[in-house]
Amino acid sequence: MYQSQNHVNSGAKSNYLNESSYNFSNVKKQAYTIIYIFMLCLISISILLYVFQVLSINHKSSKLLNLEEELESIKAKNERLEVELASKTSLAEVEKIAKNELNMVEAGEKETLVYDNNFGREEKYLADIPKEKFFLAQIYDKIIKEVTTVQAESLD
Amino acid sequence: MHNFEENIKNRIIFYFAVVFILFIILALRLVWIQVINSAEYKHKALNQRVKEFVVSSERGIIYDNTGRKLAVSLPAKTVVALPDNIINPKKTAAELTEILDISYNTIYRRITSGAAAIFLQRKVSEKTYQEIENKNFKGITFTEESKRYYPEGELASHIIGFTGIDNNGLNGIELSYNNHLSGKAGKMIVEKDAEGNIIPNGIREAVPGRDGYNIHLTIDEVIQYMAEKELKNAAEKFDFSGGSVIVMDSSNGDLLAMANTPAYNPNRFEEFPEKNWRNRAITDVFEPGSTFKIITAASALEEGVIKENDILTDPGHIYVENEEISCWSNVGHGSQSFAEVVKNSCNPGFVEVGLKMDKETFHSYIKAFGFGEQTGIRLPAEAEGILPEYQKIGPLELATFSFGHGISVTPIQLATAVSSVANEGKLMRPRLVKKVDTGANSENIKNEPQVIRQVISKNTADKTKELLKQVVESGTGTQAAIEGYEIGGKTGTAKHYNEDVYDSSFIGIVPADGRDLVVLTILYDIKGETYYGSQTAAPVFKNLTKNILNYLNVKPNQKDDFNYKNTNKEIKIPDVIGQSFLDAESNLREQGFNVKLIGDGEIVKAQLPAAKTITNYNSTVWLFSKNEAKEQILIPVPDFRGLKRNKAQKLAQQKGLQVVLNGSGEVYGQSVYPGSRIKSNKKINLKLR
Repeated sequence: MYQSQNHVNSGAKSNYLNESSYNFSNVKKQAYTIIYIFMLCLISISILLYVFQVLSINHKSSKLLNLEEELESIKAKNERLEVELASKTSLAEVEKIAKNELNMVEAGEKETLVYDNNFGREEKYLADIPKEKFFLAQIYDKIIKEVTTVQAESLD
Repeated sequence: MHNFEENIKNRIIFYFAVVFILFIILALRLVWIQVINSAEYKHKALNQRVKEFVVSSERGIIYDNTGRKLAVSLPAKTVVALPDNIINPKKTAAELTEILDISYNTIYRRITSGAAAIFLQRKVSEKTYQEIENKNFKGITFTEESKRYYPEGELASHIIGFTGIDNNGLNGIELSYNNHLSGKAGKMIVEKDAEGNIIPNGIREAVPGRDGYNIHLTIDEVIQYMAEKELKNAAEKFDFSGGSVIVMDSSNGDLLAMANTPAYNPNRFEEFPEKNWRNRAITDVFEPGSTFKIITAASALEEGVIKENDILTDPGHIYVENEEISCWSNVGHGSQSFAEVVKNSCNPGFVEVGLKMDKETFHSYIKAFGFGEQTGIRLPAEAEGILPEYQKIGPLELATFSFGHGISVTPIQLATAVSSVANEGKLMRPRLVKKVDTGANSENIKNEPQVIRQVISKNTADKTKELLKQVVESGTGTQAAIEGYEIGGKTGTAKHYNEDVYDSSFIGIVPADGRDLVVLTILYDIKGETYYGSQTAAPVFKNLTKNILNYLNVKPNQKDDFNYKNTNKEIKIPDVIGQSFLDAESNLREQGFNVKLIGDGEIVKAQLPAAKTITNYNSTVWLFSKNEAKEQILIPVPDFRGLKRNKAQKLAQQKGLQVVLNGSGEVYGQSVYPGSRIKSNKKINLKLR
């Protein structure tokens, strides 16, 4: 009891003697505590965030791997389909379908019609036209020329 | 009591000490593993997780000239057994036997072997893979490999070839261009977990490989298909062991089609006999027969020993070194110009022409046209053909060469040689691969058209083409004629020795949009009554060519009259003996003669035919610097029988022979047997009545 009273007393004495310092250390302690707690929280959050990020990256990587595999299989499937398409559209296959399913037959003789632009327009040369006709034709042309030609008016 | 407590305390201390020491040992061991020896364990752990495997490169694609894929690579599953993981081997083997093409015993032996992993069947079909996958066998897994696939099946199978199970080329382009097609394998290092899954963010390194280069062929898929189809049609009509078709663009040597029958499907090549794999157009030789006369004609025209209007005679046979060489026509073709000899495909006529060239000259032309050596097409097992040794070639061999016997050629050699005639005399290297596509980072390997040599002049080539056109127009090749197209060609029928078996062929030059296509059709070992080239190979050529022209949209030309013009003009040969070679030649050429000079002298000592002979315009006059040289020449004797006095005399003069006429009227007997070859100074007695 004595001891405890003594102890209380000494404590009171000390508080009394260092009241300002007591207040100061108390605040300091509290501040440290807050900082500690804050730091603890920060570290915890950082760790959590880090773990979360690592997990997230792993998850994304795993997803990426799966997607890559899927892409590979789709590519392979695509190639297979392309080849299948080439097979199905090969000339032998087309002929088989045309003959067996569509009952088509081989083309027979091909007839080529040539469109002749000059058909019926026989060219007549000077030597072919009789001289008299040639003379008459010249007179006829002259008359036609006189009738149809209009001379442009000169400036002077 | 005190002792007892002391005892317990000591024991506690003892056990504590023991535990402490054990902890110390454990800690030391931990330090040993984690700190001192950490590198080794780290390495061991990494080795367990890191897997290294080869990433096989993808084999290049083979395209035709229109960009259609003829050979591609696809991923395929290989069935792998892990014997340690198989619970019931008997049941697994029994069930797998029903799906795979392997016997029960083989599967059972493999899945009970001591190996960690063993292949059961490589590169199975998608259907088989799905069946096994659905059954979910324990200890049966798959690995991915690449498998060659040919989407067009049989099309161009002899050209493309095929690959083995390890994707190495075994035949055709797949073999000869294996280095370009196969590429270089890469390497991949990845970190995997215990279940074999890739660890995300783990080690992942790749040593990149190089995919195989793509190859672009000159082959046109449609023309190739037409060629193969025509051969199949021919197989239904005729009894033959096989056939080949070559379609070549003579201007650049590009092969547009190269078809063979019997064919095979490269996707299942192992199911076909080996003889079907052979590209006979490259690997097999045959006696070209009359198709070789194109070479004889071109060589003789180029050498100047013959002109289209020169008079040649065919009594149905000719004797060379006491051996009788017959014409296909038993009665012979009588007196005819060289143009008619070509048109009628007359053997004695060609023998006479062939023998007008000396051995060295004719041999050098045969070699220059590319016979007796590989064409350099770069396909496996190309044959060189069989050309007798130079020392062993005598007049008889030269005579048989002139109509395509006693010599063996490959179809590709013949097509290439005739292409040179179509291509103004330039011999091109046959081209099958146009380009090797090496990817975006490097320059493509281009295989440019290559002129090997100028064999004959453009003039000679054009003249030969003209002569070949009349063969199709009105000669032995009329079966190949297509209305509206100027086709030149030649039939060929070669009989096998001591057998009634024939090789029939037709080779044609087809003009198509400013270039000439050469189409060769050959049917090997034909039996039966229909065997002539004109009856068998020519119709195949005609059908194929019609389709090709239609496909290439080459319009017929109705206006051009391309019939060969035979001149009937006759002129008298002047006397040039005693003149200098130069004067004599220019004098004769001015008057419309072709001149062949024999000897090194400066003055003309003899001429053949003799002066004052009336002969065809533009025929050949031989000038000799020595009389002996003229006397050495052997002239085939015509069949004078049935000819009137004047005609017999004129013919003898035109040939350069001397005749003594006894009697008047028609010739009924002659002292020298027709077809014999005699010297020009020997006189022939003719009996007339």
